[in-house]
Amino acid sequence: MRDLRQAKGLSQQDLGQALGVSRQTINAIEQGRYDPSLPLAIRIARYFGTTVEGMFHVDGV
Amino acid sequence: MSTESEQERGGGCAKGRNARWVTPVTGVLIGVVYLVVFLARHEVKMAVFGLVAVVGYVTFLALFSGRWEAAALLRGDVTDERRRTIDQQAAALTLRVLSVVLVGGFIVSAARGTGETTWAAMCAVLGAVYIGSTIVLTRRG
Repeated sequence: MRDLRQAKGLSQQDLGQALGVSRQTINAIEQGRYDPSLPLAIRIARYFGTTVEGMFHVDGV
Repeated sequence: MSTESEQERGGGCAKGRNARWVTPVTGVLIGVVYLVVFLARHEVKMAVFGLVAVVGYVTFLALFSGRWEAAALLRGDVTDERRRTIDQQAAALTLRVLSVVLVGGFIVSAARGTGETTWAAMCAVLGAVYIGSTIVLTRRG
């Protein structure tokens, strides 16, 4: 997600505002410390014009 | 699913902004009540200490909530799903510790033979709320 965000020239604050979450939440997702809910994962994927499977990977699946 | 998204984008944010002031205002009100109660008991030092402690705490939260996420959460700034999860996990941990304290207090009081009914009543309320909320939440899905 960090690569896509940086490719758009967005800060974590900008992306957080666009998605309706805090900057810290964006940071936690990028660091792998927090797994977003399905609605938020879909919002993130739609925002970057991709799919949830294209954005997020589950280890061992 | 979409309902939650809309709440976070629109109305939820406005609600969150209002909620930010609930904890500071409640804190100051509790401090004033504490002051009045202890002044009525002619314990001026305790009255002033209580008010200063509470006002100091809420002032700290107001000043640092923009820079420190924990302070924002303690202030009531639960604005997204991750913060809600943290808030719920902190509440669950607090409840677990509280339940151990209450049961421990009941056992110690029962062993001493003094005041165990108060502890028993608090344990009963805790248990009833937990059982009731579990039933309601499982039915809501």
